[in-house]
Amino acid sequence: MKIFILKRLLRGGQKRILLIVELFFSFIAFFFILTFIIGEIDNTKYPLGFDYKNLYKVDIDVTAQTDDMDVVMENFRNIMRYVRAYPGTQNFGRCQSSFFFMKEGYMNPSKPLKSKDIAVPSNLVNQILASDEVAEVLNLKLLEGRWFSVEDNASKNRPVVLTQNLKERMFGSENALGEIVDYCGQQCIVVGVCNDIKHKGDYTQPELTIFIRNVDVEDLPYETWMCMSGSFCGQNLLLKCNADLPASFEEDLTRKVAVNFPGYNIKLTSMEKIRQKYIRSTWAPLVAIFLVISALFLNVLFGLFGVLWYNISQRTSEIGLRMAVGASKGQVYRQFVHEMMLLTTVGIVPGIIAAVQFPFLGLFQMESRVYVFAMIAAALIIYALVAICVILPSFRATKIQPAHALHEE
Amino acid sequence: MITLKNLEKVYQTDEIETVALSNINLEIEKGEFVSVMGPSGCGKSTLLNMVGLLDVPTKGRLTIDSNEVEEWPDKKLAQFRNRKLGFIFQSFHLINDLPVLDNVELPLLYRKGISGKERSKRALEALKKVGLSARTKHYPSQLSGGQKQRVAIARAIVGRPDIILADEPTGNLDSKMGGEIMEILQNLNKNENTTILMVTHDEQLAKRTNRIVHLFDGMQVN
Repeated sequence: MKIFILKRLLRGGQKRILLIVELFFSFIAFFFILTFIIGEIDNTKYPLGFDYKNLYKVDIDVTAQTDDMDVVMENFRNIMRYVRAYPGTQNFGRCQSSFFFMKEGYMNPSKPLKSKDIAVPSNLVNQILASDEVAEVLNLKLLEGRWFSVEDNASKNRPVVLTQNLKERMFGSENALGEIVDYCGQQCIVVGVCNDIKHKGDYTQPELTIFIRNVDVEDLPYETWMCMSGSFCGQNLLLKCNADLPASFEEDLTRKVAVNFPGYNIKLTSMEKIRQKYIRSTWAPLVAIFLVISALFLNVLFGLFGVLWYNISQRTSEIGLRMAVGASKGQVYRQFVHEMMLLTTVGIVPGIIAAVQFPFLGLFQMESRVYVFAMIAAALIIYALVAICVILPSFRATKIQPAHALHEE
Repeated sequence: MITLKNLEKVYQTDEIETVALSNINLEIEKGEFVSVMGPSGCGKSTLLNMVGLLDVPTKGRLTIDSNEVEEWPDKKLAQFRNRKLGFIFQSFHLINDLPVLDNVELPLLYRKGISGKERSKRALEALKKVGLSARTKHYPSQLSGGQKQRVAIARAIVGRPDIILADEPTGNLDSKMGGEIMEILQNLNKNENTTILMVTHDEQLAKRTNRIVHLFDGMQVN
């Protein structure tokens, strides 16, 4: 019977070509959209790799009119000491990088990162200049070696810590500790390997990240990186606090700094709030995509429904004939479903062939299984749509008495 | 073989009630060739549809091959049509997308236990009987009206039915072609003892059958 149906489809191919083309493009559209959605959701399985809880981004703003930089620097120092000594705070860390939970591109080295044997393209490497306190502040887990410390002051090579994925990329399973890597022409020594991090946020993949010790802070832990304008020369000041802070902590600290240091303000932004904002900004386009996919879904649904309704109505007389020669209603009904499923397969197979190229070409830089899931999901959606669209008109067609069906043209 | 007792068919719409058949009593013996005549709209085709189990009578009793078929479910009716009945229509009702051989095989597709090879063999045999074995790969659009009707006859006999129901089988053909088709039907009736109930407008053709049933306004007028 299936061969019979296939013959019929091939013979009527010209008539059905538009339907096949519609099915093909619908599959491709669903595949694209689902790849992005599944890809984003798939990325949530990787841990973030750093602790954002009880962590604040601190901005210090100078409102005082002064040209005396020594006074400014002294006040900065005093503010930092005051904040660090404030009840409930633990430690400051500094990072020079794009900020956490920012979807925009991160800071890359200007040249490829090289080990003895491997060069990792600079665009794939996330660089973070970090102070000695960052591992503790971000709660990074050291898997091998150690984090930066004062003992690095004596090192002739600048110390770096690699995330596990970058270490594997550069050194494989070999020991990386003590190895030299070429970072923008500087010979840096690997002192540690830490867990992978998702600097850009929950919905991204872990980045290949290199932490480089900020050498400017050897003797003056907080001051040298401050600039005259009051900004931090691209450095992010991270304040780790206790878990049991009162609700008024941010407001109280901000007010007290303003009172004790006239002409200077601090602004504390909770990393949890930054993350929530990031999640909202990530889901906003996903919701838009969802609306697009819903519109597409309805469009395909109505399009297919109309075409199939017309197609089946055109064949009412044939249904009558088939019933006259011995087909039961169920057989006729199943025949239409079979036909449409075969037709759908004819439309989807070229789509799958096209979709399979994506993991090979690595166009969206996603894991192969994301494409596979997207392909399967897109195919299932199309099959389900076709099933929905074919059930009603075929059901209606088989409800007519064969005698009447035979006379419908 | 076929018994109709007080058969009635009424088509009911929201506004109009149309009596298509009223109080039809008919008995057709096995191997009989009966023609049904009457003016257009008198219920000839409706009668054929009732006997062919393609429509449901409003009242009365229909017995075919000692089976009272009124209460049968769809599946059983379909099987019965497939095994016992063969249909020939005025407008042939061939599927244009399928070649002749596949069109003839159609009833066998719905019969369990017949392989594709066996289907083709039987279809070819049926086509030989109607003199069309050389056209198996042609499509209906490549055939003349007479040839199409022969294909339809082959399709009707491929399942070796006991009864053939022919609804104006020569209605769309010229007299020569009509004569040829009639000859095929007569041969089937004589040689294979097939019971045939044929609706026709052509009195000459009707005279070549064993018996003529006349209908007028849905009623038997014999």
